[in-house]
Amino acid sequence: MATSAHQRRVIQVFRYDPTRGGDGHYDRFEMDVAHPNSTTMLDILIRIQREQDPSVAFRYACRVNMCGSCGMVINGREGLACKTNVCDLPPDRDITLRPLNHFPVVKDLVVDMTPFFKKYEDAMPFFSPRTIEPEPAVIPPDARERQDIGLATECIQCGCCVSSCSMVNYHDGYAGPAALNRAFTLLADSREGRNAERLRAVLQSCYNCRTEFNCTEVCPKELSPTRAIKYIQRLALKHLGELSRPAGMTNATEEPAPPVAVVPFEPVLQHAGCVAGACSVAAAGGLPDDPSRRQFFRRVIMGIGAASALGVGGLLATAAVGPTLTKTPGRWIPISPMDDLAPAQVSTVTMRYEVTSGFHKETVVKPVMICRRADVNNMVVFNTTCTHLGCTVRWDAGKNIYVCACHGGQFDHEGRVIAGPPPRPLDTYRFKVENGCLMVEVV
Amino acid sequence: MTIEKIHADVLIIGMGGAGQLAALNAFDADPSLKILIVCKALKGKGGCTRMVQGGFNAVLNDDDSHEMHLMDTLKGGQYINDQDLAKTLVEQATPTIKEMETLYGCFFDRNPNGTIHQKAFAGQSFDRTVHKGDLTGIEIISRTTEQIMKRRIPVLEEHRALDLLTDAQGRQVVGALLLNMRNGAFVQVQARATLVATGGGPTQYRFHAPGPEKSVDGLGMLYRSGVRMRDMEMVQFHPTGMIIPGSVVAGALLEEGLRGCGAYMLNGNGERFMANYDPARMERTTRDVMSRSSYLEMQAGRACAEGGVHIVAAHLGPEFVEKNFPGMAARCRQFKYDLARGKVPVSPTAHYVMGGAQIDKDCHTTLERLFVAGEDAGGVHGANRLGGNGVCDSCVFGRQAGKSIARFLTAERGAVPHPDAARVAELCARYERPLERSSGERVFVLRDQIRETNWNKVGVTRREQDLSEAIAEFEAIAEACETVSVEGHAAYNMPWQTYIDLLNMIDVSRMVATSAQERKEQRGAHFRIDYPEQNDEQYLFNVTLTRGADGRPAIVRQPVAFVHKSLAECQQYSKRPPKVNK
Amino acid sequence: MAHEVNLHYRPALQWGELDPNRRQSTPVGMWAWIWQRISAIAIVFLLGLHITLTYKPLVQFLLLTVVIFHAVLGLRVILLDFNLVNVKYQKALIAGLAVLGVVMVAIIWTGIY
Ligand SMILES: Cc1cc2nc3c(=O)[nH]c(=O)nc-3n(C[C@H](O)[C@H](O)[C@H](O)COP(=O)(O)OP(=O)(O)OC[C@H]3O[C@@H](n4cnc5c(N)ncnc54)[C@H](O)[C@@H]3O)c2cc1C
Ligand code: SF4
Ligand code: SF4
Ligand code: FES
Ligand code: FES
Repeated sequence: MATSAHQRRVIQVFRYDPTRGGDGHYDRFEMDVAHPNSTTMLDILIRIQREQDPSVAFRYACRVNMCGSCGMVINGREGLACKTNVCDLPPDRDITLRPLNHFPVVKDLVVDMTPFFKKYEDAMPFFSPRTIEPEPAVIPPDARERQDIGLATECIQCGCCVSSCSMVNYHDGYAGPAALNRAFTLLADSREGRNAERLRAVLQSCYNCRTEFNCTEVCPKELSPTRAIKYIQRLALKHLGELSRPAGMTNATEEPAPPVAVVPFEPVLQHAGCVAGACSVAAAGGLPDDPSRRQFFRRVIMGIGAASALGVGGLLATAAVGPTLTKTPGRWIPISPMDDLAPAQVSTVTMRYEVTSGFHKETVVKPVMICRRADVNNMVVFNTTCTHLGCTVRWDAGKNIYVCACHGGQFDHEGRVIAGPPPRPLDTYRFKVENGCLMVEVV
Repeated sequence: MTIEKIHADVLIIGMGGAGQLAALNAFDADPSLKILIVCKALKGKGGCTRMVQGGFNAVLNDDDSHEMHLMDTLKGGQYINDQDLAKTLVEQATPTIKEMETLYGCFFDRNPNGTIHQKAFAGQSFDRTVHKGDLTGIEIISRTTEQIMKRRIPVLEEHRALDLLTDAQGRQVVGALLLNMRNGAFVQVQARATLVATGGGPTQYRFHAPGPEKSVDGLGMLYRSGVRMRDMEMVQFHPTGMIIPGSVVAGALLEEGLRGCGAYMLNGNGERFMANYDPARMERTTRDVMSRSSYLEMQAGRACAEGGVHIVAAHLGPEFVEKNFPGMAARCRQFKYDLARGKVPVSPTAHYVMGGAQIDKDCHTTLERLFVAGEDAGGVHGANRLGGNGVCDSCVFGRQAGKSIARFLTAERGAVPHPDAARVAELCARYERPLERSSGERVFVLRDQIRETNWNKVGVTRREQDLSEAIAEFEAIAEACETVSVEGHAAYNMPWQTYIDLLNMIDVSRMVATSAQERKEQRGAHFRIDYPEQNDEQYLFNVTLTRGADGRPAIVRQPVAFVHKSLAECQQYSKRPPKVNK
Repeated sequence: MAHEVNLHYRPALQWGELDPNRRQSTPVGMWAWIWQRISAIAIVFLLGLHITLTYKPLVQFLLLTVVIFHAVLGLRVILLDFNLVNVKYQKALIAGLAVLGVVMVAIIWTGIY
């Protein structure tokens, strides 16, 4: 038996009164829950309605997780009211019930699902047989297509996934996870005839998905629209050729045009939309809520996008192009009169020269080490840049070696590595003597 | 007050299997028809078709036959079925289920060789139940709803039908009065043909299996419009509705298949009480016997602590239960019961109304321009319905209705009379009255009362005195209804909707109780403690009724017409030993 | 009565609007996405620093970490896009890649410096 401790819970319910308008607010209710294990959010709402405030509005039909009428945001996460029990929510916190995102609110927790169905319909969720067969298709349960489709046809159109997907905020045209999930089940179905058309209709939307998995996390039927979206993307990759052909050239369409035969008659059309009779809902209509806010978001996002693109592009460009510009013919830089360089010694002299890299001008100041042997014409000019990671190497006259302080690199007097991480000997410069002055070539 | 008026060729009330198949078939027969569907819930979300777990009976196998399916149906219905309807049911089930796959894109479970799998279901001589896991209904309703979208058939969601509108003589139905539940405005629809398919749904009982959104609206409307109804005493109780303290989920079903596989039932003393009621079949007995036995145990003071009896499946092995009944195991788990390892408290739960409007096989009723299909119609199942014949009934007769309406509208080109404006105004005023009262009865209290009365006195077992008392109580509730007050604005006002539900429940309760008084015998789902034997000598008739001048049911007995199978054949067939499922 | 009052739907609530519990309920997949975007901006910023302030070990370390973090999250999307990892393991994948990232940072850092 479901024995569970009695609890006192606080429930915050989102309230919106269509006769008053406004933003909505939360009302606080408190109640004793005798059976937290078996009391659902739906039971809580029913009790609030009967015992405390008959005007609370919420929606339900089946009360057993089958119809998808009671989706709402429960403690910040979408779920079915009839599937979430009190014991599933931390006992030390208030329970917060709020309507689903992305759908106009009719009253309190009741939303208008018209935008959901509109997008669902746009994804061509309906079966259109390739050919009309007299008998059901013979398809073994372990056929590849059935393995792919799996349980994905069990969606109950509760809208939880659409509410949880933050991409629906930013892309008005985004079909959303539920519609794409259904499109996927047909795209994978070998009996279906209008898949070329369907793939075109939904593909764009698939690239709006950012692989957030919010939809997968909240789906009360444990479906994964994310998986469906990935499937469609891969399918599109396989059919790149066909997709790039102009529409209409695609085969598969056995059936004539979609049967739009009915021109729905006036008053009904008005109704069947979300214009609920006398409600002046027309204004709230589909989704064009608060356009300035959306536009602002869009601009900010575009701005950030453009700035990052420029930034990255610029950096790449200087990095890629800059060096090639300077790599042009070497220049001869005067270093020192030969007389200043003692024979049989290593002298360190600072060289200075200007470089222009792109539009950037810089003065390079860098020491070079000139090792003049006893035989005065035998001379090596070492680059002081360590061949490991570029620290500056200096001559240690006492030990008769070149050392790098950074990671302990050591080179012998010929510049060969004798210790530490440097991968190769010290670099040397080409040099010449002109008018008694030592010149080295820099690139 | 001006109310919005809509004209349509076909008005379809209800968007379950029956309503949707009617719309699709009418459209496909004549795409120029202006069809309008209205539905109390959101598009495709209401009703019990969606809640079907078990499946759909249809003859698909060469070793099976329509003959056998018909005999099973008549045996289940204890011979008082309308044989024409039963024959149509079994014959049309085959093409209907095939169209579900080939036209609408359902995909039912397959055999390893790729043909459609059919499982065993109680009371059948052949395994003929087509299913999709244990969520067959979702597959059916989702796919047909999409077909409605494809054909762009307009749907008014959250618009409930309040009453049918008739011409001045009350002979033809010319449309219906609707209520837009979102803003509380009335809408009048004038239509050349009207189909009622709101799916019955006995939610007027304490424990009920259908979703609480249904409230026998269709049956109430039909009764008030003056249609002839039949078999209203026949309310099926499913033996295993879960008991869940403090939750509306109470009454939700645990599948029959559990008992089929060997799950057993224990009373409060831990005894397998079926040994005292049906020692031969024990828990594998039929729904009615099982429900009755549990109920009698509960009445006799041998209920378990939760107030019902226990179902035990643990001995079948946890893996077996989890694998074969994943949906049921999950449902129990949500409420912290462990179906696979422990025991779950259950009670009989009101499941299905066998009675309803009297129709012919093309869904015509006794009123012109009015068609009825699905659970709102009576006669197909007689005194008891076989598992798997319910959704089959809705789909088959929805399809019949769609075709029949299209034919009717091609043949009949006359203008529809206008609904009587004064009558419409009067109805609106009447429905709005509770909103205008500032104080009065609380509607939820009254609805609980009617549920208790029905449960205790017109429920699983009945007796003369209880029935008379119940009728008196219904009248008292009806009177109290006249003083109900509902606070707030009409827009999405749930207590107000409950008030309207209650009005329908009262009418239907009257019909059930009065019909139950008429049948002084046991037959199928109807059990009289004071007349516990089936009486084929005197009671082979159908209790039919219309609304009398005083608003109470006026009863007429109609003898059963044995047009396809004789009584002797039926009785003979009933003696055959039941098929034993593995 | 019903007919005299003008009724309005409230415009759709946006993700997170008037939702005090949203942040703590945001699932890990969404965080993966958010952090990949944040790391992209951080990369641009640190790259700039790296070029102006050459050979500052702190900047280098941060850049290395952020680049690897970003790459690893990019790898996640690639693996999922091409079904190289089944979406059911997406959470394990994030954990696995996070570990891979830390190991890579550690190896590169100690290997080079
Ligand atoms: C839990 C459960 C399990 C079942 N399992 C099985 C099974 O396994 N096999 C089987 O054969 N049968 C089963 N049945 C029975 C079967 O589901 C129903 O008999 C059948 O689906 C009824 O179909 P319908 O189209 O007549 O009505 P429904 O599918 O119930 O549809 C009724 C429609 O009418 C609408 N409606 C109601 N009132 C109004 C109103 N006032 N105005 C406008 N619209 C209205 C509803 O919103 C809904 O759309 C089960 C029933 C239940 C409750
Ligand atoms: S995975 Fe895609 S569809 Fe799902 S919530 Fe994330 S962005 Fe939306
Ligand atoms: S995919 Fe899941 S969350 Fe989305 S609508 Fe379907 S059932 Fe609901
Ligand atoms: S009420 Fe149907 S899913 Fe919750
Ligand atoms: S930079 Fe010289 S040893 Fe590392």
